[in-house]
Formats: sequence, C-alpha cells, structure tokens
Amino acid sequence: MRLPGLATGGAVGVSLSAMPPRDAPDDALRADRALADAVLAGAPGAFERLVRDYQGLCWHVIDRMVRHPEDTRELCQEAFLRVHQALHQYRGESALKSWIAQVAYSVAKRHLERRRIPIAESVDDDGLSLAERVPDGFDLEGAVSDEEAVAHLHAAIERLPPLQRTLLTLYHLEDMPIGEIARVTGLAEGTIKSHLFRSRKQLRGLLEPSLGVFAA
Amino acid sequence: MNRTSPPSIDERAWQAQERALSGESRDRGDAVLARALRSAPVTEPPPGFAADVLRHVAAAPAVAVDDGRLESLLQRALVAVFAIGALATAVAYGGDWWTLASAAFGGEAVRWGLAAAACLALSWWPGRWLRRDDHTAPSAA
Repeated sequence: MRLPGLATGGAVGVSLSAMPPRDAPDDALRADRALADAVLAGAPGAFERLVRDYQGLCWHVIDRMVRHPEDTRELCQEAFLRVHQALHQYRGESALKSWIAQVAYSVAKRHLERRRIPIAESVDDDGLSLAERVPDGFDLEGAVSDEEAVAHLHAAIERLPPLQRTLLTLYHLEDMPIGEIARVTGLAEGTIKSHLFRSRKQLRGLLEPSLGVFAA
Repeated sequence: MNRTSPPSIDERAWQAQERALSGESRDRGDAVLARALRSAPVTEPPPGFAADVLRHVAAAPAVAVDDGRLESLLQRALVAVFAIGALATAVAYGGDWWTLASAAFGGEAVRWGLAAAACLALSWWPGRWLRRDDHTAPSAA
C-alpha cells in the first residue's frame, strides 16, 4: 500500500514485491560488485543506475526512522553522497542492498541522536506498554472487520519507537533476514529478535479485546 | 536506569511467533497481525528524486580517498613515542629497578628473566617484520 500524494511515477526504486531471495546468490553478488566497480570507474550512468535501483530502499529505511518528509529527503541525499564517497570500501562480500541500507540507517540514527530523540524503547520504562500509549479514542472492542483492525495496527506501528518501527519494516516489508539486519544496524541478532518479538507481542496484544468478535 | 538492549528471548517462543505469523496459524488475530505487518504503508521517493541526488553529489566537493596510510603513519609515530619514553624511563630508573628486583628475586633470577624476555623478543620480532607489508585495505563501511 502506498500513501497518496507521493506518486511513484517513473522514479520508483526497488519494488517490494521484487526483492531478491533471502540468500543472495553468487551471481547477484557479482552483479553488485560489477555495478560498484562501474561507479568507481566513473562509467557514464552507473551511479545514476545505483541511485535509481536503491532510492526506494534508502527512503524506506530513513523515513521509518525519522518520519518527516523534508528530513527524509535531505538525509537520503546525504546517504547517497556518503555511498558515492565510500563505495571504494564495499568489498562485495555482502549484498550492495544491505551495505546501502547500513549507510542509510547510520545517517538516520545520527540525525536522531543529534536531536536527542531516543531510537529504541527503553526496557525499564516504568511499565508503560504500547496499549497504554494508544490514545483514548482508540476503540479496539469496536473493531468489526479485519480491515479496521489492520488499520488500527498500522496506526500502532507508527507510534512505535524508531528502531522497533524500522526493524519491523526491514524484516517484514524488505524481507531482510536477521543476519542482514544485524549488518545494517550493527545490533546483535539476539537483540534484533528481542525487539521484533516484543513489538509483535505488544501489537498482538492490542487485538485481544476484540477476539470475541473474531471468534464469532 | 533505562537500557537499550531488551532481555533475551526463548528461541522456542521466537519460532512459535514466527509460525503464527507465517500463515500456518488458524488464529484470526495472528492472521490480522501478519497482514498488518506485511502491508504497513510506506512512502516512496518523489518524482525527480534521483536527479536531485545526482545534482547534490555532483555539487559536493571532492573528498580524498582514505586508504589508511595516514592512520598507519600516526600509529607508528605513537608507538615510536611510547618506545622512546619507555627507553628513557628504563635509563633513568633501571638501576633502581635492578636493585629492587635483585633484592626480591635474587640477582641470578633477574638475569635469567631478562634473558628469557630477550629470547621471546628475538623470536617474535622477525615474524612481525616479515608481515609488515601485508596490511589489508580499510574495512567496509
């Protein structure tokens, strides 16, 4: 589902439905390496191709973190500038996609840190759960259809801290395996799993009051 | 005090949650959550964004490629400073150290200890010297 007002037009990056399989085959890595080499060699159109291929991914990662269109635009430009300047460090041992996502993530994280915005939900947060942070007007028991429940979950996902929101995006929308997410974020695989587990458990808990309707 | 690392989870609980969200579960709540996670709205770059990026990159000042040589040079300079400092300290206080060590362990033991240290250094240093040109390129971002 895409938000209106930001037409995809002809400038769409990697389609979420056309993502490579979880285990990138060797030929995909070779293609990544070839593209990187072409950019480093200054081949005409090579960097433009790289931008067009990965602008969607970069945008998704940064937007999930900062949730501000203008900041997202500036930070994406900064991320691609860093990609251009540091591409000589890409060795082709992992997919170019995860390398670029790593750059995008670090740019967004630094932006939030400069603004002193916490990126992760603190563990000892005096017990305030996701359900308790939902506004008073949120009527779970009034949900009568799956569509309504899905919409409410989407709203709840938007209220998650940046890190949890981004991890859910990378895992469920970008179809990125845990190991690759670990490379992108610099977090341990166990930590990523814990964040995903807790977030999904909290989201699932929001549906509990309406199970009586679903069980019918 | 807040922590940023959540407590670890049980692997079985993780696998159970994965199965529930994979479509294998018949629970409607799990199905709704799975659908919500895979359909969360995302924004896309606006038209012309790629062209903006290319203009931004083209306008940016050129950055010298860091191949690590400066870092290596500074490291060697630092090691040299430490070595000179250690040597100067040994010259200044070596006599006192020898006296104290001889009193504590005996003169013969101290001499044998120094000989052993010299043997270790002689066996380690040539290998280090032969490997001095095998440093790899800087790590990836």
